[in-house]
Amino acid sequence: MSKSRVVIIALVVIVIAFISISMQKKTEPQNDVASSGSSEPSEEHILRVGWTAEADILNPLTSWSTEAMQITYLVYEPLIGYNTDLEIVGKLARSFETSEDGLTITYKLRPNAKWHDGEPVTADDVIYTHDIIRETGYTNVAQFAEFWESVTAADDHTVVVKLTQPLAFNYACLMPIMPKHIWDGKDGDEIALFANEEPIGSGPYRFVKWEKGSTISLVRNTDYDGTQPGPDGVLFVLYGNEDVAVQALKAGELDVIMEVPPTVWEGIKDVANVKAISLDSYSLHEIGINVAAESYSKGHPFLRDIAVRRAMRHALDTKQMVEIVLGGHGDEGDSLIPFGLKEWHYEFKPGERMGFDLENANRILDEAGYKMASDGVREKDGKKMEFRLMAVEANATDVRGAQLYRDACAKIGIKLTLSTMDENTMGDIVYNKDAPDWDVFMWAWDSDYPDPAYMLGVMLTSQIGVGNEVYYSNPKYDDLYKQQLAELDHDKRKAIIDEMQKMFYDDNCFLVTWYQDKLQAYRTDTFTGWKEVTGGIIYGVTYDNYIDIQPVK
Amino acid sequence: MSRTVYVARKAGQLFATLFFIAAFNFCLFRILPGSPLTLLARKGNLSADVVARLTSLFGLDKPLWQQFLIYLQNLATAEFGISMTFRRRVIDVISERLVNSFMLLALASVFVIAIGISCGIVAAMRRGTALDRTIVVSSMAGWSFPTFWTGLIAIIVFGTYLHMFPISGIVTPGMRYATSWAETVDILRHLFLPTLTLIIVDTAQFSLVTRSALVDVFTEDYILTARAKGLSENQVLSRHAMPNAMLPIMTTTALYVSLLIGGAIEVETVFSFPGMGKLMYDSVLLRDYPILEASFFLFAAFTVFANFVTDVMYMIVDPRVKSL
Repeated sequence: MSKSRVVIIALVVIVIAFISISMQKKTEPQNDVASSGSSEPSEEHILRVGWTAEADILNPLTSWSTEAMQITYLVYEPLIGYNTDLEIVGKLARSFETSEDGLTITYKLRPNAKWHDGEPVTADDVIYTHDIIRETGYTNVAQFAEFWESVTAADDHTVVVKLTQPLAFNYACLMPIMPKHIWDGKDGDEIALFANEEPIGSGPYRFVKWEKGSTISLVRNTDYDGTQPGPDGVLFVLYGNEDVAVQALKAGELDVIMEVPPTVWEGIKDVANVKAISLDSYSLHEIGINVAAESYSKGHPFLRDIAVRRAMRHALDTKQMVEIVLGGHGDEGDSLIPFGLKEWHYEFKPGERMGFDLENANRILDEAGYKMASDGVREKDGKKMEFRLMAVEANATDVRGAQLYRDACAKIGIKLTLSTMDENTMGDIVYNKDAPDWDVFMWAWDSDYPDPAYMLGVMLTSQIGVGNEVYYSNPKYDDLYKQQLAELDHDKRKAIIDEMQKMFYDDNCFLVTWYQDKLQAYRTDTFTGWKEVTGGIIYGVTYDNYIDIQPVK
Repeated sequence: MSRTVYVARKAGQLFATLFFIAAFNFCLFRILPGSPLTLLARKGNLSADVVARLTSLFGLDKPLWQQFLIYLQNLATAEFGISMTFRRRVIDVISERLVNSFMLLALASVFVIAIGISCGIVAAMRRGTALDRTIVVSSMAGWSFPTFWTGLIAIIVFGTYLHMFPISGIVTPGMRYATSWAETVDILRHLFLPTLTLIIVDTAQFSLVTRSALVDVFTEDYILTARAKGLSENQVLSRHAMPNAMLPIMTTTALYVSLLIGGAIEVETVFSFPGMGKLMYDSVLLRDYPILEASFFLFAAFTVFANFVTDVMYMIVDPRVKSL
């Protein structure tokens, strides 16, 4: 017998051994819990969540990813938070009270709240958290620090926050309270580099383990004196891509997936024991136009002409985009405030909305003196109407939307040259605030919390080159922003915010194309009681689904 | 030229190459537009002050030559600095992934090389037969399939349909093991599909090279002579044909093995495997300079080292190298 045959036979034997091991494994009990010495019953109900991006770090002050927030908001706890009806309710604070003038907020902490290491939670921890955020400027709570007159302890479990002006939005829901006895003494630089590998919080789940690149596990905090979570633990499982995560959901290896691609979503609608849901979200996609001041802008000068931007708005077919790009899973874009923020989203009246109207667009450009040349591209003063258009190549919807928009603009004599790149490269070009050298881009935003101030705040003059990517600057808008922030009367605040939305819409530098639906899916045979919430059952603004769901009996 | 001089010269080239790689690596990622902090400000209302503070904390505001010195220092200590994404020592981040990738690719390499060379030998010896055609066509077909596609098909067949093997990760999530043997078995089961995919896709590299090298050698006069001496086919193969066909096979092996620590990005993505390929890809998007610099350096160093070993092996296998 030749050597090669021996080798082949040996390989076959190894492969057969491999397969038999795998078959034998199936007959073994699924979880060897008993052997680990745990006293838990063998029937453990762990919620398995599938995600496709990993958390960066579990430091609630400096983590940058949405994924990390899912962990830190379950391990730590803010004073207040959103429930599944999106109402603000007490979390670490048993109750809270705002004075008549809106200048004093009193929080009463749950008296038996304990850190996961057994130390009691006290007012000092809340004061420390305020102090460290004011000192370092970390987290998006820092923008409110200028309004904190004082944060004091009335007693061990009562915190009194005095403000210099009333605040329409209570930042406390964005601020997980940190244990002073662990963090005290770290300065801003140390905190920035602190990976916090074993987070100690006071929340309903304790941190167990992070297997880098694969799973993060949490276990129910049995000492938690608020509502006990239904699941015995939560396991976040990382998948290389959404398609495989969906396969895992179908196979019963997962209980819920944070995001399902539209094409796949249609395919799992009818799978047994799987529920696919489509929810309004807090995200928007937009076409941004460079309106930086002439003194430093490297963008095309035509873009500073409002007539050109109005024509560009009329060339935007939002209906077509929702149908073609999103397959119907979304709503047509108009205002800066996403559709999911229902009561704040401005309902444009027929005369105010500049709909898709190529004829009108052409007329506007003709009147403004941009003459159509023989090559189909308009020109004025010897300059062609040719703009650069950028999109992030990994965002298939943006690229498709940009292509459709380029084709529509060609019909009104505007030539857009599309180039795609990775997001970091585009960010570098867009945010180069000394000389923004670009014309038009397609990009997206998520409102991290369901208050209109988030998106409105992005377009402030002070945010130019930081969040404000179109270099919009309007003193009147800035002024109205300050007014709404201090306005406690809901209707009056809404009137101001409506005005801001209209004003920003009419300035036509940020053409919202669509509001994409949040597509998610969960299994119905493992946990019940999922409540569908705008923004997502998980990965949205409420973390209560992690608590409220119960194992299927 | 003596063997010592030959080895010394190759070793000198090795170190010069490594330094060049280190310098090149540094420039490569700084040339890329964007920075690790570009997109931070876009999340929440992070103030310009905080962005400036982080920039200086990571040394990104220093002149390039100073950053280069810091980088060299980080290389010298083999800690490679602090990852800007994970805020942990790069060596810790990388070593976890390195172990995983190495495990997968070492296992796959053994199979790929063994199966590939064996098939190549069989095909060459049975040249022109149906067996030869089957081997050539099937390995060519495997090589031509896109890796991610082969992986997805493997997932559908063995995972979703037959339920024989897990389709993602490296261990069963949340599993607690009774014994370390149980854990080993679980890891092996998770390695099966990625390994199978790599075998299907990569075997052709070895079977085709081996076959064509042997087919060439078989036409030589000394093979005819060997046969005329009355040697059996196996003796002809092992004494005369294989030694002469080894050079191209060794080169292919060196190239393949040098990819061991680089990870297999497509396979890692399809099977959600926490390896180096995935880490490098994500780090490019995030511009995590320290991770990129460290992993590309290790990757390049390993390749250079594998080539060095090949050069030395040539000297042993090929008598002509000695007399250079």
